[in-house]
Amino acid sequence: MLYHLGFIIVSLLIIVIPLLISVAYFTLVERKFMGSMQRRRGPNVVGFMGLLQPLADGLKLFAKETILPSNANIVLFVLAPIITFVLSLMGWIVIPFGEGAVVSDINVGILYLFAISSLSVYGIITAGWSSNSKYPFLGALRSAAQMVSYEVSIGFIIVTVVICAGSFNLSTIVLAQSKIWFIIPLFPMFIMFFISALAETNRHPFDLPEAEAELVSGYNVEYSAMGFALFFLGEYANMLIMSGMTTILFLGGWLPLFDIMPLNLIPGPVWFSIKLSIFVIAFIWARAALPRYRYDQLMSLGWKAFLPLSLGWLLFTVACLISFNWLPE
Amino acid sequence: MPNYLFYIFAGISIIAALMVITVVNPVHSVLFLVLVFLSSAGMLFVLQLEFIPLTFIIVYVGAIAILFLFVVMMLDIKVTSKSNDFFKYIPVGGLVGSLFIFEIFNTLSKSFVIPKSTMLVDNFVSWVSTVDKVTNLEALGQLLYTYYFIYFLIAGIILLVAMVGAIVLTLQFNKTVKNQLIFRQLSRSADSAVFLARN
Repeated sequence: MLYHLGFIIVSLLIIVIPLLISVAYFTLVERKFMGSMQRRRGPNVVGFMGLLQPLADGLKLFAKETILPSNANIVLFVLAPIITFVLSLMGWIVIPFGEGAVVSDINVGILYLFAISSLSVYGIITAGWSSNSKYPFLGALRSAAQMVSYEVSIGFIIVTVVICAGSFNLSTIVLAQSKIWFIIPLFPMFIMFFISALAETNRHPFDLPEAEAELVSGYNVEYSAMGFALFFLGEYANMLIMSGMTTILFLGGWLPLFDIMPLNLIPGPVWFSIKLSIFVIAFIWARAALPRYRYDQLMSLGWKAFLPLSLGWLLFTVACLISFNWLPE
Repeated sequence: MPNYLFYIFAGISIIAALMVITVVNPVHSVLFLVLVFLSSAGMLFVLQLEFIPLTFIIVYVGAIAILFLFVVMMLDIKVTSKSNDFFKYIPVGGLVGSLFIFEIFNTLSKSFVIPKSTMLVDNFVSWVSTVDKVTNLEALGQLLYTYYFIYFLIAGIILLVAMVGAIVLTLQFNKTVKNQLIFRQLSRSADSAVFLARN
């Protein structure tokens, strides 16, 4: 019993600590990368070439004063960032980093990830409501509507991949791609999944919830210090988990590019990290390069373009699989 | 261990269900409703069902309760006095509640067989499942798409009818509102837009 509990705690720490470090360096990569896209240096003062900048930022947020607005609903106001942060950590226990390198290899892993990402709306909407202020409320409503809309097309895309792989288990989905990665037969779905992931994590060009010009900063206007830091960490961990999901669903997870001699000597988790970093860079690239969508355009893209196309492609995939007798198992 | 977890989840769901009807603030009561959904999903997880509680969370918590919360947050929240209403509603509410409990117990005792020794501890070994491992998901799929496919199709048609009904109720053909057609905007070129004005 005690041994089992200790095993759980150690495995969770093995997941959570590298995750927090990678979130910290994600912010540094974002600032450096955007700096070089905009022909400036980015952070370069704290530490060697600015490498200690995220730690300094974290320390600053930790040392600041937590302000609780007097008209806020205090319980929900305190609870909202905790919900967001915990939900962003919960998804990682089913992500396979390599063959067998997964905390909990459950047989409905992809559904679990989908359920967790659909729960993460609650952190945002309770933050917006409990702040009792108009900008957070508008930001939270926008964000919730956006996330609910794009979840529909994400669901259809996941179903398409699951039908091709024949399992809801993430490791089996990766192993089903050992002949060919799903990015090649399902390329339009891959593009749509990545765009939906941008919308689901409230990133540019779909960052309507925190449109600086209109809503100051959206749902987290009233938060300071650790509350804000938890939202920030949760948001970036969500981006990492969406990148990980794209990698697992379409880019063959830990599998090497070709199963030949020099490439398959590189261990699986390294391949997984390389593929995940591609999407991290793509997230930052989209932020630096693209202007923000208008809200009605965002909704019409989600409901009138992505939903019919993903539904149609699902039917097309099923028809192909049945008519050529390619269904797995 | 799993038994204790089951009772913990059951206790949370009962307390949260009581809070749903006693809490004054409607937003709080919707959030307690979400807690009821989550803890009952946890109960199903403890009973080793994986697929049903996950779809339960995705559909009810991820979509329906969100829309609920949306509507409640938009309302002008009034703190109503509870004391008078309680005795006014107790005859009807008590009747409906006792009928419901009677029906549930009647159905449960007829359709499920409870093991004699203890509840919730399965002390029999299902030898079939040790030889032929079928996961929860596969078992459900095998039943749903073979024996019960007609009910599956009927459920789909009912949902379609509900969707069409909702669209018909909310769609308003309004001639005065000008819509933006992206295709028309994008296909506009200089030839059709720029011309010389002559008298």
